[in-house]
Amino acid sequence: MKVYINSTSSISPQQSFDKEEYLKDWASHEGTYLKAQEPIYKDIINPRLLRRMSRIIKMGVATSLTALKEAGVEKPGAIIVGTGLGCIQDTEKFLSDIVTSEEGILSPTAFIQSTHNTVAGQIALLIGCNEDNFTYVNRGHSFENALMDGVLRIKEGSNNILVAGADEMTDEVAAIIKAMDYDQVDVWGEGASAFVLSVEGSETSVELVGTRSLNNLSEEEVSGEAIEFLSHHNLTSEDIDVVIVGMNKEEDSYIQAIKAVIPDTTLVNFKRVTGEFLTAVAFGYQLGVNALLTQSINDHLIIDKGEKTSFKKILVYNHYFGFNHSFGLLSK
Amino acid sequence: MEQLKENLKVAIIEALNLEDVSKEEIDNEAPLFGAGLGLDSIDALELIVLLEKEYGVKVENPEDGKDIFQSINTIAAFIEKNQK
Repeated sequence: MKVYINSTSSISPQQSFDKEEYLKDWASHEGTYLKAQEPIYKDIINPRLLRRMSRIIKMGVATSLTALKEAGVEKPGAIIVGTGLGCIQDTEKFLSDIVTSEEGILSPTAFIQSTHNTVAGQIALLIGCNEDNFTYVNRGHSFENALMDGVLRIKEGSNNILVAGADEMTDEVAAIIKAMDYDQVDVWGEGASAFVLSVEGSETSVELVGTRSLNNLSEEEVSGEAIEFLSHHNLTSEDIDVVIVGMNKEEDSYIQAIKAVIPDTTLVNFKRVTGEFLTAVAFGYQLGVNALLTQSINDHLIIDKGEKTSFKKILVYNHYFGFNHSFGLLSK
Repeated sequence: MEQLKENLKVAIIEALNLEDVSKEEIDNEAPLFGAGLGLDSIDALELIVLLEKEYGVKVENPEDGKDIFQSINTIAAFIEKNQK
């Protein structure tokens, strides 16, 4: 059974939410991390509900509602969200309230909204969806596991599964990362992307051929796993037109390992848009879908340009600090 | 009393993040919940926190909340009566 991505929506540090302006004007960023370019939420979310939402909730809800609308789906078969840090802004507010009030009376909103599953819950409340509602919090595999859940549900007979990945960065988290000397990436970032997975596709759909997640791989093992993953889908490296990778620094030995076994293809780094964060790969998939539908990729993201001028098959490879690795295959 | 009501409106707008509402739009007698500002039960909890933090006034009996939070006038009267 095939699984189709019937719609996508993304909020990232570059303009990606408005598809007519998708990555058109390249914005330069200042500060310690790449901050998402957010749309005017009042046009998408009921202002009465909007007032309590922190940024991750707004980003997750806005992309999800947009993806559902684009797919023409009112009630999805399930809502599945992946998030690495969850609603960290509300968590910070709640914790700092505890300190400043000396464990006295606390604002209930920040507490209620501080749980990781708030994004998925808010989507369900907004659209009145009583189907399964899951949130995956698995570090660098949070989005991949949400996506895998969506794929398995399609294969088990469900339809129109909403899958989203969302994370927000705050000044506090950025400062903690720096203080922990965990700052070994070019730049940190944030964003949200949402997808509707369906049994049937159309002209504007892309097939999600497969995904695979692995942990603790050496560079040599990454090369082997890439070939094995393609082989599992009856493909060789020559069949791949574009490889979309998530390099968290421009000198990345894992990307060299991918390049060694898929040498003559267009190589694209999606983290030049998103920066590094635990669910950044969601944008990698969204970029892949967009590339297959528009047959174009912004030059700012291209590391190596291959000779193929049309794209039919795209491999997505991401790793988070060499610990969490994942492969995904998109086909048009 | 009038100054208290004006300050209260500003504090409520800020605490409840009522971005689209200005203090001029809040009638002193209009209901805050339901038809008026459309506040809900979570807002009621936020208002209890606001009164304690900003005005040092505790709502000891939650059942009294319905009368206390009826309007700006009733909240201001409660603060004035109970503030030490």
